[in-house]
Amino acid sequence: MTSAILDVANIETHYGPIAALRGISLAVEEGKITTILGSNGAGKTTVLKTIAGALDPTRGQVRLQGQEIQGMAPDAIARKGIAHVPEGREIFPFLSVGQNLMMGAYARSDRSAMAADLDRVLSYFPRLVELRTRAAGTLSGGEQQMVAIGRALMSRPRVLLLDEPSLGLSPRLVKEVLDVIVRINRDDKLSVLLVEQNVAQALQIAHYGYVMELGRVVMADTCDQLRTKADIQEFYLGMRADDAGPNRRWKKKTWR
Amino acid sequence: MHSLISVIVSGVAVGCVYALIALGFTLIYKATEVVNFAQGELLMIGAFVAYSFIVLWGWGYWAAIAATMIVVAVIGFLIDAVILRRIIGQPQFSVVMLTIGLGFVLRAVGTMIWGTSSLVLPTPFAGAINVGGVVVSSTTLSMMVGAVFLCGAVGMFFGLTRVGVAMQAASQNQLAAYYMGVPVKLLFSLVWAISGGIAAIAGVLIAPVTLVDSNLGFLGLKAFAAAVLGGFGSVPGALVGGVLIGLLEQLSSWYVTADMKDIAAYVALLAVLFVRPQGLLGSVGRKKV
Ligand SMILES: Nc1ncnc2c1ncn2[C@@H]1O[C@H](COP(=O)(O)OP(=O)(O)O)[C@@H](O)[C@H]1O
Ligand SMILES: [Mg+2]
Repeated sequence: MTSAILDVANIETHYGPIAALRGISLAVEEGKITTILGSNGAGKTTVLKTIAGALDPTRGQVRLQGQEIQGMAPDAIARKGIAHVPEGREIFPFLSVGQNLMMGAYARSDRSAMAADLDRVLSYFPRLVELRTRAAGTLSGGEQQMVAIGRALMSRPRVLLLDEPSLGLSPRLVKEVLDVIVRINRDDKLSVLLVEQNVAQALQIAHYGYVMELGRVVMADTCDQLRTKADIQEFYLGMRADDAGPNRRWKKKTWR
Repeated sequence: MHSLISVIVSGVAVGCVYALIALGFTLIYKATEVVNFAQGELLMIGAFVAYSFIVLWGWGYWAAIAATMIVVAVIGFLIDAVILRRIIGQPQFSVVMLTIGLGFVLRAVGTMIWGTSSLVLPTPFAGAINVGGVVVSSTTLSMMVGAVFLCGAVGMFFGLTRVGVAMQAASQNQLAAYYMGVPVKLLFSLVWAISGGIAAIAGVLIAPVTLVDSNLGFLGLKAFAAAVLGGFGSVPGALVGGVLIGLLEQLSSWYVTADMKDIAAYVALLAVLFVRPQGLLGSVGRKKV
């Protein structure tokens, strides 16, 4: 794991007395897409929030390029180069789409490069061009997700954290959003940590995967390997009998 | 007839100043969800400080105003950065009590430094001008022009500057603003500084019609009524509410009795809240996303 840009070692995170993470270790390799799978309540969102600094771990380390960042304020972590696209998008509803995107570049001052990045984000999500002056809160869920991802890219991150970016989107939009993630990763060698409920597609686009259960990592392997494992096929890909529905959502199933 | 018009004009002028104070309330509330009951006392301190600069130290009017604005802005900044930040996360009523207590302290400090007698703040505004047959004193005009100018400047700052837009963003979604690398706490203290600066100007503008003493602090309550009347948390509501209350005050003392003046604001507030609990421009079920 020497090439890990982001290294999470044995973190424990609590909500008051409740332990949500019970010693999680994972690594995001430079230039790779790493995914975290797991049923609802497994602690995936908590992992991302702990990395982003919204929650402080009671134990363990988070290292970005070798430097410990756990316990730092979320704005400081963002300025270190970790961009977080949180669950539920969390856009600024009364700001315009353009203002939302530029908020991602708040900590930057290289104006001409910012303008170029804005053009690039708009080329990834051409639909946003005509929506630029609209209040972001009036957009559809899929459009808001594009704003949230575009906003994160505007910070020129070293690591991009994505929490269920396809949640609530139509299958066509899911594909559009995931395709952009693949493109960004391929073109810019951007390191991505992706939490996805859409397991089949996550395993397809990611290089390495972790499976979480009740605050622990229970399986870690390359996505090619994970795809072949029996439990994964059974619980997430719905390939038990012949009904191999690749788009089957795990939501109704429990891992336990 | 002309006297009615001049009553209306002076009502609007005083209302403009109420609108400024209410604007200060609203900015702080929108950003930090704190209702600052010491807003009137910041205004009072502004008027006192301006008096010191102009009368005691002989500064020119405009330089004194700029310096006063900076002094009160710094006080506002420190109230947030040093005092309020410590009790963040405590129940809302502790925060409210704290700002009420701060108001008392500021008023006491005001009387200790500047005494109890009413002071006169000299201004360069003398005489009156004739606007279409209505005689408007330059003092009245200064209140209106000053308020409009300041509101415009504040609006441009929040709408067009990088920091202003980030302040809006932080008030709409605090955590997301942190994720963008915005130093949210610093920005909230800056909002307090801006509100302090606005209050200081309001104090300087209204000083010629009220005199300067510690009772100026009570103007905060009228402006609070204005903010609630307009719909608490709404910037246009605060401005409209302020002007309306200034107007009502003058009209009721003109038509009814002079004693009505001081209760008109609250009577209007009760009447409006009875019919429209969310205030004139407030929206129902408004929820921060
Ligand atoms: N704000 C919170 N307060 C208390 N418990 C929480 C909170 N958020 C999440 N949890 C608990 O922490 C665990 C992990 O949650 P989460 O990280 O959201 O899971 P996932 O994203 O994998 O669905 C769950 O048991 C959940 O109930
Ligand atoms: Mg989650």
